[in-house]
Amino acid sequence: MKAEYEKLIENVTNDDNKNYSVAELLDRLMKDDSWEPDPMRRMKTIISLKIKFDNA
Amino acid sequence: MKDAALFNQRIKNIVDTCEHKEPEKVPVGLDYINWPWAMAGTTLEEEVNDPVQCAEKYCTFMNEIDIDFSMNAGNYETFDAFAALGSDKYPLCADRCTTQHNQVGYEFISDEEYQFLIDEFHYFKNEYWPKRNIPVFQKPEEEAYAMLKEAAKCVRNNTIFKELITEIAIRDHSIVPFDSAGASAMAALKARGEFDQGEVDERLIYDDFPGGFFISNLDVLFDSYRGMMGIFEDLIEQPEMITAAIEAMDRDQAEEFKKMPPRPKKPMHALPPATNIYNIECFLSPSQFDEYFFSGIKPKLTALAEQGKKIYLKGEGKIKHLLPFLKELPKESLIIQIDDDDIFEMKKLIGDYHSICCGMDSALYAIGDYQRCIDYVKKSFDELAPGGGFLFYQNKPLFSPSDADPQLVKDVMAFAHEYAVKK
Repeated sequence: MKAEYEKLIENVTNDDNKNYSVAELLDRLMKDDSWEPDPMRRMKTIISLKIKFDNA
Repeated sequence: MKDAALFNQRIKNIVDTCEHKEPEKVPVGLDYINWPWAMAGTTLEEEVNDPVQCAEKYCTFMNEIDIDFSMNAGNYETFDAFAALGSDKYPLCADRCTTQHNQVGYEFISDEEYQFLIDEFHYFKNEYWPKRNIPVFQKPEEEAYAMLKEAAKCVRNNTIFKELITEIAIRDHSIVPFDSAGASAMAALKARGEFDQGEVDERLIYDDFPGGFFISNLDVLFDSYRGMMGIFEDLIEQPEMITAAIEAMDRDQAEEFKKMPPRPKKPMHALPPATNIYNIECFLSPSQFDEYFFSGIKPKLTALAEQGKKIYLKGEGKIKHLLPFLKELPKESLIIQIDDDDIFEMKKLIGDYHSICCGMDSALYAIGDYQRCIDYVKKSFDELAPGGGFLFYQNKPLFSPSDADPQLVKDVMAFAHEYAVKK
C-alpha cells in the first residue's frame, strides 16, 4: 500500500477500531446463527447489508 | 388463491403486446412503492419489526385495486438498518412510511481518495469506505458487532417482507411481478405447492430464477463515491479518472462473481424481465453513454434477449437522445418505462421496435382531478395501444401515501382496466 494511502487509513482509524476489520465482523456475522438460523438467508442478508455500506 | 389461469392470461397479454400483437387486453400496471400504506390504516414504522404482519397490511390495497403487473413493489429503504449503523443518511419522513435519502453533509471522495479507489478498490470499498463513513465502525469491536447484528436483522426483515408481498401478489392476486423478487417468490410458491402455472405454452412460462439486474459502475461511482458535481467535472477535466475507476470496479466485480454460485442452466423465458436502470446515463451525451456504459453492456443484454428474455429499462429522466443505441439491441427485447420524455413522441420514434410502458402521468394523481386523469389515460390508450407494444403504467412511482388519493387511484385503475379491453 502506498504511503499516502496509509495516511488516509490512519485518518479513519482510532484506538477503538484499530484491532478489527470490517471483513472480520462480517465473517463473524455469517457464522453467527443467533440472529438468523438459515445460512442461505444469512448470506443473502449480508450481501444486501454490504451494498448499503456504499451510501451509509 | 386466484386461479392461475388469470396469471397466465396476464402473461399472455404482456408477451403479446411486447411482440406487437394487440393483446386481448392491454396490461395495466401500478408503480406503488410506499403508497399502499395510504390504504393500510397503519405505517411502515409501526409494522416494520414484524415482516409477516407488515406484508399483510401492506397488501391490503390489492383487495380493492386490480393490477396486472408491477415493478418495485415494497422497495422501502431500510431506515432502521441505517439507524442501527449510526447513519443519518436514510431517515423516515414525517409520514413514517417514506424513507428519504439525506445527502446533506455527505462528503464525496477527494482527489487523493479517487486515486486510492482506483489503485486499491477492493480494500477501499470493503474496509476504508465503511470506516470512513459509518459511525458504528468507529466503535470498539464488541459494540460495533452488536450494532451490525441489529442492522442485519433489519435488512433480513426487509428481505422477508419483500418475499412475502411478492408471494401474496402472485398467489392471491395473480399479479405478474416484473422485478427479480418474482422469480424467487415463484420458486418458493411452487416448492410449497401453493401456486403453479400448470400446463402452459412455452412462451408463457414465468421463470423461477432471476433474469438479472444491470446498473452501471459509472452510476455507482456517481451515486456513492464521487457525486453529481464531481462526476460532471471529471467528464470535462479528467475523463481518464472515470475510465480507470470503472475498470477497477469491473475487475473487482469479476472477482466477486467468480465466488457466486453458477447461474442455473435452464432455458430462459420472457418474464420476469431482466432490469436495466439508467440514472446518470440520462445526463450523458450519446458518445459518453457509449463509452462509459453501452459498449460494455450491449453484449450482455443482447445475449439475454437472444435467449428470449425481455429487458425492462427505466431511465430516471430523459432518454430520447439514447434511442439509436437502444435500437442496436434485438427487436422487441425492451420494455421501456418512459419517465420525463413525451410519451407520444417516444411512441413515434420507437415505432414497433420495442415496447413502451407509460400512459399515466403521476403528477396528475397529485393534482387530483379525476376528469383530467381520465382524459390523459384515454388519449394514451387511443394513441399508444393500436398495434401493440404498449403497457399502461405511470411515468414515476407513487413513493408516498400522500402522492395520490386512494379513491382516485381506484377510479383511474378501474377505468384503465375497462378501457384496456380490445374492442
